[in-house]
Amino acid sequence: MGFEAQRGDVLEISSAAFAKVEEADVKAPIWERPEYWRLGKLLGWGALGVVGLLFLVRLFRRTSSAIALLQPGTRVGDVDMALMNQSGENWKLVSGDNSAALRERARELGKTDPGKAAHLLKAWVNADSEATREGKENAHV
Amino acid sequence: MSDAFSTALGVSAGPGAQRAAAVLLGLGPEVATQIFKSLDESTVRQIALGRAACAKAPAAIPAALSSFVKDHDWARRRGRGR
Repeated sequence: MGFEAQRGDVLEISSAAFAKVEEADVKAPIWERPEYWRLGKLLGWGALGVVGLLFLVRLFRRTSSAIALLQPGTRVGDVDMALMNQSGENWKLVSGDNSAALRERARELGKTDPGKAAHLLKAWVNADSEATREGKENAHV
Repeated sequence: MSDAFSTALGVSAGPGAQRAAAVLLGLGPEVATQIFKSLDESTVRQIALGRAACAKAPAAIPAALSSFVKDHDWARRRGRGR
């Protein structure tokens, strides 16, 4: 085995270019490509999670402020302060020039005789309790 | 939300408690503090419940103040009449 010219072996050398295989340039649309589906799902769940988290935070803040005001054992002074801290802001939201005179008149009455003002407010609150009691009694009858 | 909370606690704020809360919010801290000193704890709690409902409708404050002034004047006139 081997090259032997006497035997008539011939060595022929030639060059040939590599054939370039053209890739098919046809790509599937985005909505049919699984990687985009995965990304879309991930973003969707993420957005849903953020919305859910915001909702829970809002819910918690509302509930905790209500609990702070209403839990048995809460000192009246704390309830008082919680109410007072918000009073100025609320008034700014709703008051106009025409309400200013009314507010001043009410403040004057409250300042002059806070006991009488408290008595009046208590009467309003008691009227609620009486209405509730009567409602319950009527329901039983 | 606060309504559900109130219901869960078995208590709810009636219109009177809401109106009282609106009046106190409208009067401002200085005057309201003086009035609070004359209120018992049960009434303060009812008013606190009313405040939660009132926060949803701050526009109720001027109407509540108007009621307060009217009732106050009415009580004064009645006192003089006796």
